[in-house]
Amino acid sequence: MSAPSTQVEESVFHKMRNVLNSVHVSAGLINDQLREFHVDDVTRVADMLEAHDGNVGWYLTQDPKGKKIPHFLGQLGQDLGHKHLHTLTELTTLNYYLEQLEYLLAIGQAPERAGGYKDTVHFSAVMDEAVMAHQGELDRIGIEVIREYSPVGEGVLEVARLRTIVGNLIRNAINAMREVAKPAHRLVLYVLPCPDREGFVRLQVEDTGCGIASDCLTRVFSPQPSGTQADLLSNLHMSAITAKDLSGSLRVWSDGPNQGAIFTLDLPVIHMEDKR
Amino acid sequence: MDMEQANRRILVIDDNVAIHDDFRKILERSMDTSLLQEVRAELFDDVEEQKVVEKFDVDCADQGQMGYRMIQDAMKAERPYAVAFVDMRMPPGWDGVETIEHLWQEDPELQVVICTAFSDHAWEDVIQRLDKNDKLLILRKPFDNIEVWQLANSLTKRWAESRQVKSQLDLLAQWAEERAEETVKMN
Repeated sequence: MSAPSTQVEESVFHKMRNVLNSVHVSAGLINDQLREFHVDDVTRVADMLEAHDGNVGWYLTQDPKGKKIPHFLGQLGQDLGHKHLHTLTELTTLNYYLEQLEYLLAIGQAPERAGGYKDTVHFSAVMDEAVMAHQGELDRIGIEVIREYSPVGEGVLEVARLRTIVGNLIRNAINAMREVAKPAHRLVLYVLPCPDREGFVRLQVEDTGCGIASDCLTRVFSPQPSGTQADLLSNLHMSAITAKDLSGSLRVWSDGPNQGAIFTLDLPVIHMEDKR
Repeated sequence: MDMEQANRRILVIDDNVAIHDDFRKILERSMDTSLLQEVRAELFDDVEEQKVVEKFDVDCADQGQMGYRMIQDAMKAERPYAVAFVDMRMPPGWDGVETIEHLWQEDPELQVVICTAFSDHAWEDVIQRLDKNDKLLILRKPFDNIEVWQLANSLTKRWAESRQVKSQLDLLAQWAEERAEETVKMN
């Protein structure tokens, strides 16, 4: 290990300790949850039914204890299902923490191979910063900002590049809304776990602006010839490339002219170049 | 214990947001109090219905200054926090010790747990600087879930007890004062 980077090392260790804390808590929680799975109850109920082998019908309908079994099984099923889901969610979180540890370990051992030092990113904070930077303009046009943030973990990636993309998307949305006079413009920001890709986060910027004709949807991200909107659209082109560099993707959808548009940025929560 | 004294409000101050989640997971977790418990107790003779374990009410701040403002607001609203968990190192703002000094200026009753992964100050220095060590406990990271739960549980109780003692002392002082006045009048 090279000597000069003690400061980076200390910061990496500090982060690792914090992640380790989350690993501890997560594992502890899974342990507690599993203990509350009343799996033995199934056997006990089976035993009770077996003990009344000859007259189960009477037992289930007339016996003061037996009568309670159907209701109990319903409750047990619900309870197990609920806990099962909780435990699975927690395991996913635990997995995410372990990946983060793996990444931090890689930085500690060979910073150059991990693709340089990256930051811990709060995705919703990046969205908020970008909005704040444009607050004056949003107020002037009278655009209402709506935030739909679901909890997603912290990411580890180059935050500067993420900021560039999000900034471009918000500027693009504002420009699109400026072009259309509407009584109530809305900018909706979404942060959510990617529904179809594990380990990915989805950031969306939705506007009520001029929209995009369906035959133009594919051209939004192409390199643009110089012209009135060239600057803006070449930013979108750059954003798409940056998204790809971060192992993610940038897409757009619009129902047509004047129908607004929604840009969808999917990114891996942890971005490692050269991951082996 | 009356309702006013059952204060389960907890404030977590840590610059790492993932740690907020850790505390929330532990302290806001609803224990096994589902409907199932009731039915189980009816069906199986050896199962007793479990007591309802009350959750805590957790708020979080990622900087000392923000935590301080939350304590101020809580005092103004007469909804004080019972316990604060404060991280030792929180760049770029106040460190844990400075934060705690501010918190106690605003709310001297607050029970505090200082959390640390490694020592930035020697412990003696910390305790000397804070000079109120009966209200200060230390929690080492990585922590255990049960450790955090029990700290929160016993410290909220301690908060309630010390408040009860204080109100009794106040009553006593008031009584003594009235007596003194009467004595003065009599003479």
